[in-house]
Amino acid sequence: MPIQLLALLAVAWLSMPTSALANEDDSPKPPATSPRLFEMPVADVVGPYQASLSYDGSLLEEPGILASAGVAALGIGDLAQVEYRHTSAIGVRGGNVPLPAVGVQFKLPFARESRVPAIALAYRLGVEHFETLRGTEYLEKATDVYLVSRIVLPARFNLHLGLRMTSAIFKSPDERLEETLYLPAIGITRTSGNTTAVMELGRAPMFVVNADESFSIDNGFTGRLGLRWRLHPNVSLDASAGYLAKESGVMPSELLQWDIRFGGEVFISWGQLACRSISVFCK
Amino acid sequence: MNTYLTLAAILSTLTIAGGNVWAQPIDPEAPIPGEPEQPTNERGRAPDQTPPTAEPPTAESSTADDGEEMPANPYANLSQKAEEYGGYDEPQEIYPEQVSNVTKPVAPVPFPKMHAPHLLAVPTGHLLPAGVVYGTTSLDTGGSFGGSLRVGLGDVGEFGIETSPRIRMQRTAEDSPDTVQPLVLASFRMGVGEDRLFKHQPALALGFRKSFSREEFNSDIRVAGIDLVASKTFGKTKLHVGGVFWDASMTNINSEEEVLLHDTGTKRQIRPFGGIEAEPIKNAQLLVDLYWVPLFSPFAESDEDAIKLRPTLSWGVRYHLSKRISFESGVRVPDIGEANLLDAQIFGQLSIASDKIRRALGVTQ
Repeated sequence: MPIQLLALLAVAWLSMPTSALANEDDSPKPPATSPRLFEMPVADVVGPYQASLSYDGSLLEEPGILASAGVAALGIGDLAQVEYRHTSAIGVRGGNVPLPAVGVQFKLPFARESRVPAIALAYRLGVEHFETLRGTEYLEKATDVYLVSRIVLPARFNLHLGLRMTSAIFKSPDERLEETLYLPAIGITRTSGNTTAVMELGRAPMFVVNADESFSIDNGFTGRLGLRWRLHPNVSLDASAGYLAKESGVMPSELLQWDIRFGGEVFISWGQLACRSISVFCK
Repeated sequence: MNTYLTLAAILSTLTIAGGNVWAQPIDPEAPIPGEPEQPTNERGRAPDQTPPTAEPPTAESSTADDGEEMPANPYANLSQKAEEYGGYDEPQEIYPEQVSNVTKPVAPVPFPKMHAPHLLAVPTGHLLPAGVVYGTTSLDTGGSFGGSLRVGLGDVGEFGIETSPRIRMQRTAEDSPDTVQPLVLASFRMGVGEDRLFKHQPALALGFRKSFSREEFNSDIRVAGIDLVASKTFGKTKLHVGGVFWDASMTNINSEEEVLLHDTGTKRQIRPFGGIEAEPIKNAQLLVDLYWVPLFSPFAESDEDAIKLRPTLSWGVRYHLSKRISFESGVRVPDIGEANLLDAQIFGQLSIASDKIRRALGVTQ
């Protein structure tokens, strides 16, 4: 049901004619491409001599806990980027936890403007993340191989399709569990002027501790709907409402599992900085 | 705590107004404080003002560096005229060289056309223009305060923080419900303006709001809601109609027993709301609205009675002091279902909008 609800809202929002959104005039082109939607990675790399820092956060999902997603990406040519990223997961406390990972992403060399789908492959090495539940500390970790494509559709729509192959590790002081999961994701964007409407849905690893202290790694579900407003060629603001489902068949009435995130992204031309400071990469 | 929050809300609204709220004239057409003023030369005159001359300008004209034709030198006969009065220091040549160096007048960016994103209690289908910051501060005769701060995102979205005086808790069966304060909520709304999709299309907004956790009377409470609202203008009247879908939880801190509104059935979560906004005279509006908000009753024995939605009726007036500032006052009946007018509160609310961020960002659409 939450999938249908989000899909319905997304279709209604994204199918609006262009005239309903901001004007097309005077929209400065960004110097770099964002390496993510909200939580879903995209096929485009950030760009040559460019770096991207982005972060969305919320204190609403679970009392006193900051739910967030962030990416720091460094562009290497048109075809690769190295990154530190929070990958999506649902933790033992039932909230969306940012699992850290360092990785590299390669993109096939097709021109961005072409109708040929952009395709990228990423490897992300999971970094250990700890959560405490009922006095017990649990280790959560996910290492991913991620295949993602962006398909240009008419009317400035972009369709993003991803498949995340995750090797998830869940460890308590007494027990260790490892599972391989195949987690699909889909995202739709529509850009109009300097505003981009974004909808994304995806599966995520879910670390579950049962009442008898046994634990498992399952498939969770996350979705977000929101917008990205480009204030400046180098700065954008994100705002979105998101949902996570801990189990199948969750009714959409459980609004308490929704949250609102606010954040932004800054592009930094590290090539220019390097040129000015130490006179390298000037050509 | 309430005092600090009231102070913070007042300060925030004053801050976004730039601290010179009260210096603004009531005339909506008055110059906008902080906007670029007409540039002047070193004698304090605008460049297009003709300086005082003893003689009318000659027919001679000169051309500035940028090719713009300048008025003839009005000082040409001043020396001769001054001799009649005993003479004076030879005036420096300021025309046309100095005037041509004066920055050209910049057309002031007008404050964007804006509709209030709320009536008295209900949200409207109108969103804030991109980059406009909007703050409200309210106080009622029961001592409850409310405040909000929101910003328009790209003309199609809005993000905000608010604290509402409308969500209440009845602590015991003998007590009257009291406002839960402060219950801070974050909100995010998306939508489109009126007539943007097609002619006669109402303004539409889909909003989601969720509270932070609040400890009240040995209970942790949270609320969340989705509202969808349409607003349509009919001459001097605006109609706002929508529906709200609430969820709420109340957890006893001692026993950890949790009551969830969504466990009592979806029908108990959905309610319609609406309001009317009429402008019989310029800059003054009459407002009436009906909204539904959760009421918590920790002492109740059944889950259905522990959290329930109650109708709130409000009516009042909004007076626009300027394009940026409005004042609202009216009466709020927190539970019109009980028909208990003794609980009614009279309230006042100040709303201030600022386009400083919008102008700093160069948004002109």
